[in-house]
Amino acid sequence: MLDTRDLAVMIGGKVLLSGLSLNVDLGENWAILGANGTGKSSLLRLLSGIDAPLKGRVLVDGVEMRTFSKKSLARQIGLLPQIEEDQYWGSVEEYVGLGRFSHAVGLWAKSDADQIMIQRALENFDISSLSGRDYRSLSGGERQRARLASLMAQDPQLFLWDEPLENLDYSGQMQFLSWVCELAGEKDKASMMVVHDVNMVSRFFTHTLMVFADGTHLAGACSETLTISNLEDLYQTRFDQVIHDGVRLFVPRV
Amino acid sequence: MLRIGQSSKLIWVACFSVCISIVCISFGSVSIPIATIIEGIRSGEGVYWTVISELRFPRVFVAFISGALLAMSGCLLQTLLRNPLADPYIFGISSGASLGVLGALVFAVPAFSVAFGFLGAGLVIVLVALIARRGANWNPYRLILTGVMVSAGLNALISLILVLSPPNMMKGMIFWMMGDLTHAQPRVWAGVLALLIIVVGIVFGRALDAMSLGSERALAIGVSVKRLEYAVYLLASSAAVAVVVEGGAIGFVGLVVPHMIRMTGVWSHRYLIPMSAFVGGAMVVVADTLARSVWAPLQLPVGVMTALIGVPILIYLLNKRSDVRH
Repeated sequence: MLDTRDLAVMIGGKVLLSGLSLNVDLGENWAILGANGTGKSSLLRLLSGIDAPLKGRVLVDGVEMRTFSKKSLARQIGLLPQIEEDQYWGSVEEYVGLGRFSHAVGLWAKSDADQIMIQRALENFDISSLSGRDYRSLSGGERQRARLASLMAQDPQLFLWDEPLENLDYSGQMQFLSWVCELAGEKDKASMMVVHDVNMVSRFFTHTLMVFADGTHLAGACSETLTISNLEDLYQTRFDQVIHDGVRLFVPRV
Repeated sequence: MLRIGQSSKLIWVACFSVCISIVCISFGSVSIPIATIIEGIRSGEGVYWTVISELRFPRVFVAFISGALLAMSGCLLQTLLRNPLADPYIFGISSGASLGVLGALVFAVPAFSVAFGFLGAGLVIVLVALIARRGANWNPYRLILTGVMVSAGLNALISLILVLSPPNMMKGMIFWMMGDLTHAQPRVWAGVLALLIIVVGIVFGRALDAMSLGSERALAIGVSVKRLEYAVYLLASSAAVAVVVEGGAIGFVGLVVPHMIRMTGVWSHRYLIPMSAFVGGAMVVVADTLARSVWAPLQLPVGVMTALIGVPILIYLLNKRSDVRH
Protein backbone atom coordinates (compact mmCIF):
# COMPACT_ATOMS: atom_id res chain seq x y z
CA MET A 1 0.00 0.00 0.00
CA LEU A 2 2.65 2.54 1.09
CA ASP A 3 6.32 2.41 0.18
CA THR A 4 9.12 4.77 1.06
CA ARG A 5 12.45 4.79 -0.78
CA ASP A 6 15.48 6.20 1.01
CA LEU A 7 13.26 8.76 2.75
CA ALA A 8 14.80 11.36 5.05
CA VAL A 9 13.06 13.41 7.74
CA MET A 10 14.53 16.91 8.00
CA ILE A 11 13.58 19.90 10.09
CA GLY A 12 15.23 23.23 9.38
CA GLY A 13 18.07 21.57 7.45
CA LYS A 14 18.78 19.12 10.27
CA VAL A 15 18.44 15.44 9.38
CA LEU A 16 16.47 13.59 12.07
CA LEU A 17 16.04 10.27 10.28
CA SER A 18 17.52 9.05 7.01
CA GLY A 19 17.57 6.11 4.65
CA LEU A 20 14.07 4.95 5.53
CA SER A 21 12.84 2.32 3.07
CA LEU A 22 9.60 1.02 4.47
CA ASN A 23 6.91 -1.20 3.02
CA VAL A 24 3.50 -1.05 4.67
CA ASP A 25 0.85 -3.47 3.39
CA LEU A 26 -2.89 -3.65 4.01
CA GLY A 27 -3.68 -5.76 7.05
CA GLU A 28 -0.65 -4.47 8.95
CA ASN A 29 -0.82 -2.54 12.18
CA TRP A 30 2.34 -0.50 12.80
CA ALA A 31 3.50 1.20 15.95
CA ILE A 32 6.04 4.02 15.64
CA LEU A 33 8.20 4.21 18.76
CA GLY A 34 10.89 6.69 19.68
CA ALA A 35 12.00 9.24 22.23
CA ASN A 36 10.62 12.79 22.12
CA GLY A 37 11.91 14.96 19.30
CA THR A 38 13.16 12.17 17.05
CA GLY A 39 10.97 13.23 14.11
CA LYS A 40 8.03 10.84 14.45
CA SER A 41 5.36 13.48 13.82
CA SER A 42 7.36 14.92 10.92
CA LEU A 43 7.57 11.42 9.46
CA LEU A 44 3.78 11.11 9.62
CA ARG A 45 3.47 14.45 7.82
CA LEU A 46 5.62 13.06 5.01
CA LEU A 47 3.75 9.75 4.87
CA SER A 48 0.40 11.54 4.71
CA GLY A 49 1.51 13.90 1.94
CA ILE A 50 1.05 17.07 4.01
CA ASP A 51 4.75 17.81 3.55
CA ALA A 52 6.74 16.91 0.46
CA PRO A 53 9.98 15.03 1.12
CA LEU A 54 13.22 16.92 0.50
CA LYS A 55 15.05 13.64 0.01
CA GLY A 56 13.66 10.24 -0.92
CA ARG A 57 10.30 9.18 -2.32
CA VAL A 58 6.90 8.11 -1.03
CA LEU A 59 4.81 5.77 -3.20
CA VAL A 60 1.12 4.92 -2.80
CA ASP A 61 0.24 1.63 -4.50
CA GLY A 62 3.42 2.07 -6.54
CA VAL A 63 2.53 5.60 -7.73
CA GLU A 64 4.43 8.77 -6.70
CA MET A 65 2.45 10.44 -3.96
CA ARG A 66 2.73 13.97 -5.37
CA THR A 67 0.78 12.96 -8.51
CA PHE A 68 -2.37 12.46 -6.41
CA SER A 69 -4.88 15.29 -5.97
CA LYS A 70 -5.43 16.35 -2.37
CA LYS A 71 -8.89 14.81 -2.31
CA SER A 72 -7.99 11.45 -3.83
CA LEU A 73 -4.98 11.21 -1.54
CA ALA A 74 -7.22 11.83 1.47
CA ARG A 75 -9.31 8.82 0.42
CA GLN A 76 -6.15 6.68 0.45
CA ILE A 77 -4.32 8.04 3.48
CA GLY A 78 -5.80 9.83 6.48
CA LEU A 79 -3.83 11.52 9.25
CA LEU A 80 -4.99 12.62 12.67
CA PRO A 81 -2.41 15.17 13.81
CA GLN A 82 -1.53 15.41 17.47
CA ILE A 83 -2.68 19.01 17.82
CA GLU A 84 -5.21 21.04 15.92
CA GLU A 85 -6.60 24.50 16.26
CA ASP A 86 -9.74 25.11 18.10
CA GLN A 87 -11.90 27.60 16.22
CA TYR A 88 -14.56 25.08 15.27
CA TRP A 89 -18.09 26.15 16.12
CA GLY A 90 -20.29 23.33 14.83
CA SER A 91 -21.89 20.34 16.51
CA VAL A 92 -20.11 17.08 17.27
CA GLU A 93 -21.91 15.35 14.42
CA GLU A 94 -20.85 18.04 11.94
CA TYR A 95 -17.31 17.84 13.26
CA VAL A 96 -17.17 14.12 12.63
CA GLY A 97 -18.75 14.81 9.24
CA LEU A 98 -15.73 16.93 8.25
CA GLY A 99 -13.96 13.61 7.75
CA ARG A 100 -16.24 12.99 4.78
CA PHE A 101 -14.87 16.02 2.91
CA SER A 102 -12.91 13.98 0.39
CA HIS A 103 -15.93 11.79 -0.36
CA ALA A 104 -18.47 14.59 -0.76
CA VAL A 105 -20.09 15.03 -4.14
CA GLY A 106 -22.97 17.51 -3.70
CA LEU A 107 -22.84 21.00 -2.27
CA TRP A 108 -25.51 20.80 0.40
CA ALA A 109 -26.83 17.43 1.44
CA LYS A 110 -24.67 14.59 2.65
CA SER A 111 -25.06 11.33 0.77
CA ASP A 112 -26.55 8.27 2.45
CA ALA A 113 -23.09 6.71 2.56
CA ASP A 114 -21.81 9.80 4.39
CA GLN A 115 -24.65 9.63 6.93
CA ILE A 116 -24.08 5.93 7.57
CA MET A 117 -20.34 6.39 8.06
CA ILE A 118 -20.87 9.34 10.43
CA GLN A 119 -23.42 7.48 12.56
CA ARG A 120 -21.24 4.39 12.66
CA ALA A 121 -18.23 6.43 13.77
CA LEU A 122 -20.25 8.19 16.48
CA GLU A 123 -21.49 4.85 17.80
CA ASN A 124 -18.07 3.23 17.61
CA PHE A 125 -16.61 5.85 19.92
CA ASP A 126 -19.63 6.02 22.25
CA ILE A 127 -20.47 9.63 21.45
CA SER A 128 -23.84 9.22 19.72
CA SER A 129 -25.48 10.87 22.70
CA LEU A 130 -23.25 13.93 22.24
CA SER A 131 -23.90 14.32 18.51
CA GLY A 132 -26.02 17.48 18.83
CA ARG A 133 -23.73 19.21 21.34
CA ASP A 134 -21.36 22.04 20.44
CA TYR A 135 -17.94 20.56 19.76
CA ARG A 136 -16.37 23.30 21.88
CA SER A 137 -18.42 22.33 24.91
CA LEU A 138 -16.87 18.83 25.09
CA SER A 139 -14.28 17.73 27.64
CA GLY A 140 -10.75 16.83 26.51
CA GLY A 141 -11.46 13.09 26.41
CA GLU A 142 -14.76 13.56 24.60
CA ARG A 143 -13.07 15.77 22.04
CA GLN A 144 -10.43 13.13 21.47
CA ARG A 145 -13.17 10.57 20.83
CA ALA A 146 -14.78 12.91 18.31
CA ARG A 147 -11.41 13.41 16.63
CA LEU A 148 -10.84 9.67 16.33
CA ALA A 149 -14.38 9.30 15.00
CA SER A 150 -13.74 11.89 12.30
CA LEU A 151 -10.79 9.89 10.94
CA MET A 152 -12.91 6.75 11.05
CA ALA A 153 -15.54 8.59 8.99
CA GLN A 154 -12.85 9.63 6.51
CA ASP A 155 -12.36 5.89 5.92
CA PRO A 156 -8.96 5.89 4.18
CA GLN A 157 -7.01 2.74 3.29
CA LEU A 158 -4.12 3.73 5.55
CA PHE A 159 -4.83 5.39 8.91
CA LEU A 160 -2.05 7.51 10.44
CA TRP A 161 -2.48 8.45 14.10
CA ASP A 162 -0.23 10.79 16.07
CA GLU A 163 -0.46 9.84 19.76
CA PRO A 164 -4.19 9.08 19.62
CA LEU A 165 -4.34 7.62 23.16
CA GLU A 166 -3.84 11.02 24.72
CA ASN A 167 -6.75 12.12 26.95
CA LEU A 168 -8.49 8.73 26.64
CA ASP A 169 -9.36 6.78 29.77
CA TYR A 170 -8.45 3.07 29.95
CA SER A 171 -11.76 1.85 28.58
CA GLY A 172 -11.44 4.33 25.73
CA GLN A 173 -7.88 3.18 24.99
CA MET A 174 -8.76 -0.51 24.99
CA GLN A 175 -11.84 0.02 22.83
CA PHE A 176 -9.91 2.14 20.37
CA LEU A 177 -6.95 -0.21 20.09
CA SER A 178 -9.09 -3.33 19.65
CA TRP A 179 -10.99 -1.47 16.92
CA VAL A 180 -7.71 -0.57 15.18
CA CYS A 181 -6.69 -4.25 15.43
CA GLU A 182 -9.97 -5.27 13.84
CA LEU A 183 -9.50 -2.60 11.16
CA ALA A 184 -6.20 -4.13 10.09
CA GLY A 185 -7.16 -7.76 10.68
CA GLU A 186 -10.69 -7.98 9.30
CA LYS A 187 -11.39 -4.86 7.24
CA ASP A 188 -8.07 -5.16 5.40
CA LYS A 189 -6.95 -1.62 6.10
CA ALA A 190 -3.57 -0.54 7.38
CA SER A 191 -2.68 1.64 10.36
CA MET A 192 0.43 3.39 11.63
CA MET A 193 0.40 4.97 15.06
CA VAL A 194 2.84 6.99 17.12
CA VAL A 195 2.54 5.63 20.68
CA HIS A 196 4.59 5.65 23.86
CA ASP A 197 2.95 2.75 25.67
CA VAL A 198 5.16 -0.24 24.83
CA ASN A 199 2.81 -2.70 26.52
CA MET A 200 -0.10 -1.69 24.31
CA VAL A 201 2.21 -2.26 21.34
CA SER A 202 3.11 -5.83 22.33
CA ARG A 203 -0.55 -6.60 22.90
CA PHE A 204 -2.21 -5.04 19.86
CA PHE A 205 0.28 -4.36 17.06
CA THR A 206 1.81 -6.47 14.32
CA HIS A 207 4.81 -4.31 13.31
CA THR A 208 7.09 -1.75 14.89
CA LEU A 209 9.17 1.09 13.53
CA MET A 210 11.72 2.25 16.09
CA VAL A 211 13.26 5.65 15.52
CA PHE A 212 16.52 6.13 17.43
CA ALA A 213 17.94 9.43 18.58
CA ASP A 214 21.03 9.03 16.33
CA GLY A 215 18.86 9.01 13.17
CA THR A 216 18.92 5.26 12.61
CA HIS A 217 15.83 3.08 12.66
CA LEU A 218 14.68 -0.49 13.02
CA ALA A 219 11.57 -1.85 11.34
CA GLY A 220 9.97 -5.28 11.49
CA ALA A 221 7.47 -7.61 13.12
CA CYS A 222 6.89 -6.97 16.83
CA SER A 223 8.10 -10.47 17.72
CA GLU A 224 11.58 -9.53 16.44
CA THR A 225 11.87 -5.85 17.29
CA LEU A 226 10.33 -5.69 20.76
CA THR A 227 13.27 -6.79 22.88
CA ILE A 228 14.68 -5.42 26.10
CA SER A 229 17.95 -4.36 24.49
CA ASN A 230 16.18 -2.49 21.66
CA LEU A 231 13.87 -0.70 24.09
CA GLU A 232 16.77 0.24 26.33
CA ASP A 233 18.59 1.72 23.33
CA LEU A 234 15.46 3.51 22.24
CA TYR A 235 14.50 5.17 25.51
CA GLN A 236 17.87 5.18 27.35
CA THR A 237 16.03 3.56 30.24
CA ARG A 238 16.43 0.08 31.78
CA PHE A 239 13.51 -2.36 31.40
CA ASP A 240 12.36 -5.63 32.97
CA GLN A 241 10.34 -8.13 30.98
CA VAL A 242 7.30 -9.91 32.43
CA ILE A 243 5.24 -12.55 30.66
CA HIS A 244 1.58 -12.16 31.51
CA ASP A 245 -1.21 -14.15 29.81
CA GLY A 246 1.24 -15.08 27.10
CA VAL A 247 1.96 -11.41 26.30
CA ARG A 248 5.41 -9.87 26.88
CA LEU A 249 5.13 -6.78 29.03
CA PHE A 250 7.93 -4.32 29.75
CA VAL A 251 8.31 -2.48 33.03
CA PRO A 252 10.68 0.49 33.12
CA ARG A 253 13.20 0.54 35.99
CA VAL A 254 14.29 3.61 37.89
CA MET B 1 -32.74 28.28 22.80
CA LEU B 2 -35.22 27.55 20.05
CA ARG B 3 -33.64 25.20 17.51
CA ILE B 4 -34.09 26.75 14.09
CA GLY B 5 -32.07 25.41 11.18
CA GLN B 6 -29.25 27.50 9.75
CA SER B 7 -31.01 27.83 6.39
CA SER B 8 -34.25 29.20 7.85
CA LYS B 9 -32.24 31.64 9.97
CA LEU B 10 -30.56 32.83 6.77
CA ILE B 11 -33.90 33.40 5.05
CA TRP B 12 -35.34 35.32 8.02
CA VAL B 13 -32.27 37.50 8.32
CA ALA B 14 -32.22 38.18 4.57
CA CYS B 15 -35.87 39.33 4.58
CA PHE B 16 -35.42 41.39 7.73
CA SER B 17 -32.31 43.18 6.51
CA VAL B 18 -33.87 44.04 3.15
CA CYS B 19 -37.02 45.36 4.88
CA ILE B 20 -35.02 47.46 7.31
CA SER B 21 -33.03 48.95 4.42
CA ILE B 22 -36.23 49.95 2.65
CA VAL B 23 -37.50 51.57 5.83
CA CYS B 24 -34.24 53.49 6.10
CA ILE B 25 -34.88 55.06 2.68
CA SER B 26 -37.73 57.03 4.26
CA PHE B 27 -35.51 58.61 6.92
CA GLY B 28 -33.38 61.68 6.39
CA SER B 29 -33.56 65.45 6.40
CA VAL B 30 -36.90 65.06 4.60
CA SER B 31 -39.00 62.23 6.00
CA ILE B 32 -40.81 60.24 3.32
CA PRO B 33 -43.61 57.88 4.37
CA ILE B 34 -43.30 54.28 3.20
CA ALA B 35 -46.56 54.58 1.23
CA THR B 36 -45.13 57.52 -0.70
CA ILE B 37 -41.97 55.52 -1.43
CA ILE B 38 -44.05 52.72 -2.93
CA GLU B 39 -46.18 55.27 -4.79
CA GLY B 40 -43.03 56.99 -6.10
CA ILE B 41 -41.52 53.72 -7.27
CA ARG B 42 -44.79 52.82 -9.03
CA SER B 43 -45.26 56.11 -10.82
CA GLY B 44 -41.58 56.92 -11.24
CA GLU B 45 -42.02 60.69 -10.99
CA GLY B 46 -42.43 63.52 -8.49
CA VAL B 47 -40.13 65.32 -6.05
CA TYR B 48 -40.07 62.38 -3.63
CA TRP B 49 -39.12 60.06 -6.42
CA THR B 50 -36.20 62.31 -7.32
CA VAL B 51 -35.05 62.39 -3.70
CA ILE B 52 -35.35 58.61 -3.51
CA SER B 53 -33.71 57.69 -6.78
CA GLU B 54 -31.01 60.38 -6.82
CA LEU B 55 -30.09 60.59 -3.13
CA ARG B 56 -31.55 58.04 -0.78
CA PHE B 57 -31.40 54.85 -2.77
CA PRO B 58 -27.78 55.25 -3.92
CA ARG B 59 -26.79 56.08 -0.34
CA VAL B 60 -28.57 53.05 1.11
CA PHE B 61 -27.12 50.89 -1.66
CA VAL B 62 -23.56 52.04 -0.94
CA ALA B 63 -24.09 51.51 2.78
CA PHE B 64 -25.52 48.03 2.29
CA ILE B 65 -22.78 46.86 -0.08
CA SER B 66 -20.06 48.35 2.15
CA GLY B 67 -21.44 46.58 5.21
CA ALA B 68 -21.82 43.32 3.31
CA LEU B 69 -18.25 43.45 2.01
CA LEU B 70 -16.78 44.37 5.39
CA ALA B 71 -18.63 41.66 7.29
CA MET B 72 -17.73 38.95 4.77
CA SER B 73 -14.14 40.14 4.65
CA GLY B 74 -13.89 39.95 8.45
CA CYS B 75 -15.47 36.53 8.49
CA LEU B 76 -13.03 35.17 5.88
CA LEU B 77 -10.02 36.67 7.67
CA GLN B 78 -11.07 35.29 11.06
CA THR B 79 -11.07 31.86 9.44
CA LEU B 80 -7.86 32.36 7.46
CA LEU B 81 -5.95 33.62 10.51
CA ARG B 82 -7.79 31.43 13.04
CA ASN B 83 -8.00 34.57 15.12
CA PRO B 84 -11.23 35.99 16.55
CA LEU B 85 -9.76 39.51 16.56
CA ALA B 86 -9.12 39.61 12.82
CA ASP B 87 -10.94 42.32 10.90
CA PRO B 88 -10.74 43.67 7.33
CA TYR B 89 -8.12 46.24 8.27
CA ILE B 90 -5.75 43.92 10.10
CA PHE B 91 -3.22 43.97 7.25
CA GLY B 92 -3.13 47.74 7.15
CA ILE B 93 -5.28 48.03 4.04
CA SER B 94 -7.13 51.04 5.43
CA SER B 95 -3.84 52.67 6.40
CA GLY B 96 -2.46 52.09 2.91
CA ALA B 97 -5.56 53.58 1.34
CA SER B 98 -5.55 56.50 3.81
CA LEU B 99 -1.97 57.27 2.98
CA GLY B 100 -2.82 57.20 -0.73
CA VAL B 101 -5.77 59.54 -0.31
CA LEU B 102 -3.76 61.83 1.95
CA GLY B 103 -1.03 61.84 -0.65
CA ALA B 104 -3.53 62.93 -3.30
CA LEU B 105 -4.62 65.82 -1.07
CA VAL B 106 -1.10 66.81 -0.15
CA PHE B 107 -0.01 66.83 -3.79
CA ALA B 108 -3.20 68.81 -4.56
CA VAL B 109 -4.63 66.23 -6.98
CA PRO B 110 -7.92 65.44 -5.18
CA ALA B 111 -9.44 64.05 -8.39
CA PHE B 112 -7.07 61.13 -8.12
CA SER B 113 -7.79 60.37 -4.47
CA VAL B 114 -9.69 57.14 -5.23
CA ALA B 115 -6.95 55.99 -7.58
CA PHE B 116 -4.28 56.85 -5.00
CA GLY B 117 -6.29 55.02 -2.35
CA PHE B 118 -6.39 51.94 -4.56
CA LEU B 119 -2.68 52.19 -5.18
CA GLY B 120 -1.84 52.48 -1.47
CA ALA B 121 -4.08 49.59 -0.46
CA GLY B 122 -2.92 47.43 -3.35
CA LEU B 123 0.72 47.96 -2.40
CA VAL B 124 -0.07 46.94 1.18
CA ILE B 125 -1.76 43.71 0.01
CA VAL B 126 1.25 42.76 -2.11
CA LEU B 127 3.79 43.85 0.50
CA VAL B 128 2.19 41.90 3.36
CA ALA B 129 1.81 38.78 1.22
CA LEU B 130 5.45 38.96 0.07
CA ILE B 131 6.89 39.45 3.54
CA ALA B 132 4.65 36.88 5.21
CA ARG B 133 5.06 34.21 2.54
CA ARG B 134 8.84 34.10 2.52
CA GLY B 135 8.87 30.73 4.25
CA ALA B 136 7.32 27.55 2.89
CA ASN B 137 4.18 27.93 4.96
CA TRP B 138 1.47 30.53 4.99
CA ASN B 139 1.76 30.87 8.73
CA PRO B 140 -1.15 32.76 10.34
CA TYR B 141 1.00 34.20 13.12
CA ARG B 142 3.54 35.51 10.66
CA LEU B 143 0.81 36.93 8.46
CA ILE B 144 -0.96 38.64 11.34
CA LEU B 145 2.23 40.11 12.80
CA THR B 146 3.39 41.32 9.39
CA GLY B 147 0.03 42.99 8.83
CA VAL B 148 0.04 44.66 12.22
CA MET B 149 3.60 45.90 11.71
CA VAL B 150 2.92 47.28 8.22
CA SER B 151 -0.18 49.01 9.45
CA ALA B 152 1.62 50.47 12.49
CA GLY B 153 4.31 51.88 10.22
CA LEU B 154 1.79 53.41 7.85
CA ASN B 155 -0.24 54.88 10.71
CA ALA B 156 2.86 56.63 11.98
CA LEU B 157 3.32 58.20 8.54
CA ILE B 158 -0.34 59.23 8.45
CA SER B 159 -0.10 60.88 11.87
CA LEU B 160 2.99 62.71 10.70
CA ILE B 161 1.25 64.06 7.59
CA LEU B 162 -1.85 65.03 9.60
CA VAL B 163 0.19 66.92 12.15
CA LEU B 164 2.07 68.80 9.47
CA SER B 165 -1.01 69.56 7.32
CA PRO B 166 -3.17 72.71 7.61
CA PRO B 167 -6.03 72.40 10.15
CA ASN B 168 -8.88 72.82 7.65
CA MET B 169 -7.74 69.72 5.77
CA MET B 170 -7.43 67.72 8.94
CA LYS B 171 -11.13 67.47 9.78
CA GLY B 172 -12.10 66.05 6.40
CA MET B 173 -9.33 63.51 6.66
CA ILE B 174 -10.31 62.44 10.15
CA PHE B 175 -13.90 61.99 9.03
CA TRP B 176 -12.75 59.87 6.14
CA MET B 177 -10.55 57.75 8.33
CA MET B 178 -13.42 57.08 10.72
CA GLY B 179 -15.60 55.98 7.84
CA ASP B 180 -17.90 58.40 6.09
CA LEU B 181 -20.31 57.63 3.28
CA THR B 182 -21.21 61.26 2.45
CA HIS B 183 -19.20 61.32 -0.75
CA ALA B 184 -19.30 57.61 -1.52
CA GLN B 185 -20.43 56.58 -4.97
CA PRO B 186 -22.35 53.36 -5.66
CA ARG B 187 -20.19 51.07 -7.81
CA VAL B 188 -21.46 48.09 -9.74
CA TRP B 189 -18.20 46.20 -9.33
CA ALA B 190 -18.47 46.41 -5.55
CA GLY B 191 -21.82 44.64 -5.81
CA VAL B 192 -20.32 42.07 -8.18
CA LEU B 193 -17.47 41.46 -5.75
CA ALA B 194 -19.97 40.94 -2.92
CA LEU B 195 -21.87 38.37 -5.00
CA LEU B 196 -18.63 36.62 -5.93
CA ILE B 197 -17.65 36.27 -2.27
CA ILE B 198 -21.08 34.86 -1.42
CA VAL B 199 -20.73 32.26 -4.18
CA VAL B 200 -17.21 31.33 -3.07
CA GLY B 201 -18.42 31.10 0.53
CA ILE B 202 -21.18 28.69 -0.44
CA VAL B 203 -19.15 26.54 -2.85
CA PHE B 204 -16.07 26.30 -0.63
CA GLY B 205 -18.02 26.41 2.63
CA ARG B 206 -17.03 22.93 3.76
CA ALA B 207 -13.37 23.56 2.98
CA LEU B 208 -13.53 26.80 4.99
CA ASP B 209 -15.15 24.94 7.89
CA ALA B 210 -12.25 22.49 7.81
CA MET B 211 -9.79 25.40 7.75
CA SER B 212 -10.94 26.41 11.23
CA LEU B 213 -9.10 23.33 12.49
CA GLY B 214 -5.80 24.62 11.14
CA SER B 215 -4.07 24.04 7.82
CA GLU B 216 -2.49 20.74 8.84
CA ARG B 217 -5.80 19.11 9.68
CA ALA B 218 -7.51 20.67 6.66
CA LEU B 219 -4.80 19.22 4.39
CA ALA B 220 -5.19 15.80 5.98
CA ILE B 221 -8.93 15.92 5.30
CA GLY B 222 -8.23 16.64 1.64
CA VAL B 223 -8.57 20.44 1.31
CA SER B 224 -6.29 22.20 -1.20
CA VAL B 225 -5.23 24.59 1.52
CA LYS B 226 -2.70 26.71 -0.35
CA ARG B 227 -5.09 27.60 -3.19
CA LEU B 228 -7.89 28.31 -0.75
CA GLU B 229 -5.69 30.54 1.40
CA TYR B 230 -4.61 32.63 -1.59
CA ALA B 231 -8.22 32.99 -2.72
CA VAL B 232 -9.43 33.97 0.74
CA TYR B 233 -6.61 36.46 1.22
CA LEU B 234 -7.26 38.12 -2.14
CA LEU B 235 -11.05 38.22 -1.82
CA ALA B 236 -11.05 39.50 1.75
CA SER B 237 -8.46 42.17 0.95
CA SER B 238 -10.22 43.31 -2.23
CA ALA B 239 -13.47 43.61 -0.31
CA ALA B 240 -11.79 45.83 2.26
CA VAL B 241 -10.20 47.97 -0.46
CA ALA B 242 -13.51 48.34 -2.31
CA VAL B 243 -15.09 49.77 0.84
CA VAL B 244 -12.20 51.90 2.04
CA VAL B 245 -11.59 53.82 -1.19
CA GLU B 246 -15.25 54.92 -1.28
CA GLY B 247 -16.35 55.19 2.32
CA GLY B 248 -13.18 55.27 4.40
CA ALA B 249 -12.33 52.91 7.20
CA ILE B 250 -15.77 52.06 8.57
CA GLY B 251 -14.81 50.15 11.68
CA PHE B 252 -16.29 47.44 13.82
CA VAL B 253 -18.64 45.81 11.26
CA GLY B 254 -16.06 43.35 9.98
CA LEU B 255 -14.96 42.39 13.47
CA VAL B 256 -18.30 42.07 15.17
CA VAL B 257 -20.86 40.82 12.64
CA PRO B 258 -19.35 37.33 12.16
CA HIS B 259 -19.25 36.87 15.95
CA MET B 260 -22.84 38.04 16.33
CA ILE B 261 -23.94 35.48 13.75
CA ARG B 262 -21.90 32.63 15.23
CA MET B 263 -23.41 33.36 18.61
CA THR B 264 -26.89 32.75 17.22
CA GLY B 265 -25.79 29.23 16.32
CA VAL B 266 -24.89 29.71 12.65
CA TRP B 267 -21.32 28.54 12.09
CA SER B 268 -21.05 26.76 8.74
CA HIS B 269 -19.48 29.08 6.17
CA ARG B 270 -22.13 28.13 3.64
CA TYR B 271 -24.57 30.11 5.79
CA LEU B 272 -22.17 32.29 7.72
CA ILE B 273 -20.85 34.14 4.64
CA PRO B 274 -24.21 35.07 3.03
CA MET B 275 -25.64 35.88 6.45
CA SER B 276 -22.68 38.15 7.22
CA ALA B 277 -23.48 40.01 4.00
CA PHE B 278 -27.08 40.67 5.05
CA VAL B 279 -26.42 41.50 8.69
CA GLY B 280 -23.38 43.65 7.86
CA GLY B 281 -25.33 45.41 5.12
CA ALA B 282 -28.29 46.15 7.38
CA MET B 283 -26.02 47.29 10.21
CA VAL B 284 -24.23 49.88 8.09
CA VAL B 285 -27.51 51.06 6.51
CA VAL B 286 -29.01 51.65 9.95
CA ALA B 287 -25.82 53.23 11.28
CA ASP B 288 -25.59 55.52 8.27
CA THR B 289 -29.23 56.51 8.56
CA LEU B 290 -28.69 57.42 12.22
CA ALA B 291 -25.45 59.20 11.35
CA ARG B 292 -27.22 61.48 8.88
CA SER B 293 -30.45 62.04 10.85
CA VAL B 294 -29.87 62.19 14.63
CA TRP B 295 -27.78 65.36 14.46
CA ALA B 296 -29.29 66.67 11.20
CA PRO B 297 -28.33 68.69 9.33
CA LEU B 298 -24.91 67.81 10.76
CA GLN B 299 -23.67 64.47 9.44
CA LEU B 300 -21.70 62.21 11.76
CA PRO B 301 -19.14 59.66 10.55
CA VAL B 302 -20.86 56.30 10.09
CA GLY B 303 -17.96 54.46 11.75
CA VAL B 304 -18.88 56.02 15.09
CA MET B 305 -22.43 54.76 14.73
CA THR B 306 -21.48 51.20 13.78
CA ALA B 307 -19.51 50.92 17.01
CA LEU B 308 -22.29 52.48 19.08
CA ILE B 309 -24.78 49.96 17.68
CA GLY B 310 -22.47 46.93 17.58
CA VAL B 311 -20.95 47.08 21.07
CA PRO B 312 -24.18 46.67 23.07
CA ILE B 313 -25.49 43.93 20.78
CA LEU B 314 -22.28 41.91 21.04
CA ILE B 315 -22.04 42.29 24.81
CA TYR B 316 -25.66 41.19 25.15
CA LEU B 317 -25.06 38.08 23.03
CA LEU B 318 -21.81 37.28 24.88
CA ASN B 319 -23.65 37.21 28.18
CA LYS B 320 -26.60 35.26 26.84
CA ARG B 321 -24.47 32.41 25.47
CA SER B 322 -23.10 30.98 28.67
CA ASP B 323 -23.18 27.37 27.46
CA VAL B 324 -20.14 27.76 25.21
CA ARG B 325 -16.62 27.68 26.60
CA HIS B 326 -14.54 30.38 24.95
